[in-house]
Amino acid sequence: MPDEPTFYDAIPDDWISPGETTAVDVEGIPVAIANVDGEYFAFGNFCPHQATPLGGQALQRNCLITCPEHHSMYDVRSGDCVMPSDDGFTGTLTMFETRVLDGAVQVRLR
Amino acid sequence: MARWPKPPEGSWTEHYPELGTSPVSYEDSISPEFFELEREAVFKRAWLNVGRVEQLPRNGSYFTKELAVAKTSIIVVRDMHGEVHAFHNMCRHRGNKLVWQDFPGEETSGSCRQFTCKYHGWRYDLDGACTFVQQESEFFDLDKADYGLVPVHCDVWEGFVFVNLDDQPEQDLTDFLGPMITSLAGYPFDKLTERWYYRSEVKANWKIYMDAFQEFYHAPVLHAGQSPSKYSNAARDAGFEAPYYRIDGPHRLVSTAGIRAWELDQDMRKPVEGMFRSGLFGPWEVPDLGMDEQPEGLNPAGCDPWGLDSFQLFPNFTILIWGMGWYLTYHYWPTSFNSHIFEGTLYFVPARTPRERLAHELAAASFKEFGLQDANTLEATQSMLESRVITQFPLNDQEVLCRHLHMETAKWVDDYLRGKVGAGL
Repeated sequence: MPDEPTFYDAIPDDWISPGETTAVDVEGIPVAIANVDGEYFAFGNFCPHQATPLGGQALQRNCLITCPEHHSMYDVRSGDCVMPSDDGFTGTLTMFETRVLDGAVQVRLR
Repeated sequence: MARWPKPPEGSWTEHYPELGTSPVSYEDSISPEFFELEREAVFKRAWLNVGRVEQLPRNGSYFTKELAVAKTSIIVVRDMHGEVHAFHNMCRHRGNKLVWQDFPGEETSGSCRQFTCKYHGWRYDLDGACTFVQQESEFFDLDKADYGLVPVHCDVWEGFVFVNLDDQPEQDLTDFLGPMITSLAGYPFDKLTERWYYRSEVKANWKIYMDAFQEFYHAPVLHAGQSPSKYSNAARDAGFEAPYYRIDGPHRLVSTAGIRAWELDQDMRKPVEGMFRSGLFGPWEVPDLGMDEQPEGLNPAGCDPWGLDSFQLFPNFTILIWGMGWYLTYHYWPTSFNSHIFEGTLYFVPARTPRERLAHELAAASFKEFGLQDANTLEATQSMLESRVITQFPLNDQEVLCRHLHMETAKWVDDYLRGKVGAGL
């Protein structure tokens, strides 16, 4: 992989509907992608607390995702932790830039 | 009622509040995708111990190390000036593995003045420089100076040889080891050169075995059959408590109290232990280690008798120093998300008498028995974790170091992912 950031195809742009998320491997990096009212957001698929996979769940209030393990809640638009885990973990999601090109949602990686 | 004082927060776990006290997920030990990230995020970024300088006794001594987790093999060599180097074990010509004996996947060691590729006979000196190209004139503008072996960052601390597979390590070795580990400096590792080595492929994630050896809560139960029932029953009724735990950066320490086996009633120990004057905890006679004072990092709780200090170096290396004057190392080399190679090595001051030798033999045989008992449960644990029937597991205060290993691994993976972000968001 080149060191310069590059956009890589992740999913077709009709793969997930608003309010849905999915998980996909992009150039060896497990990435979760969320559709928030037609806009796509990408973040590391493993919860930064204890590596629980996040992608595939429905969003709450169209933009929030809750880790099924210890209930950290994140805003998938910013990666911010909006509610700490049961035991107080407040780490944030790792966010990747996205764009839609020729029918594909792409994720920018270094 | 705790037998040993706990920190003012009430527990060792709460003494490190970032660990939390909730049940823990073992997803990081059953996910192939997470393991692929660990290769890059952990094993290609952290300093890895690959052996001791005693394995390179002379100028020209070398050994190879298979690092399946990083999909490479390395050569560690002492050059003709006495310097220790590490190189990827790969010929620059057409990529053949450079140093191997009968089977290319097996590790080897020996002594030489240069490395010669088996394929087309290219040669390299022990500093990695290419010194000979077969039929050099047949090549096109080839300058041997451009075709040295690919170096691996390599450094030595207290005789332990470490490598780092990163292009540019984020920390030098001393900074990576940090104050808790470097406070062992001065322990006479160089005098404990009688080496006993066990190696086994274990069908469990590498962290599952590390967990087994960083808590002793299991010991009175899992190893009960290893002692006479009078001792086992007493141990089980008492349960296990460590007097001291410490976390320093990515590394961990558990310290335990010892026993004076020679003062126990005969029905509290096996007859062979009395005959050999030895056992799992080691020989009953402490050898002369030539130390005026013990390094300040040892026996932090001031136990008398002191049992052991087990230092868990992130990611996959343990130095376990026994109060009876010997030490062990453990290495856990991942081969897949649910398998790894375990290496257990015992180090003693070389035996001077048959009695000392027998004492070492009994300690080594006892260690092997205990290790096999531990490894048995690991495969049983891994297979059921993979069922995902249960995904959250409660850890008690004696398992605080298990909690830290999994959290620290997730942190390294998260740091790595953040480095992959292609734009400032």
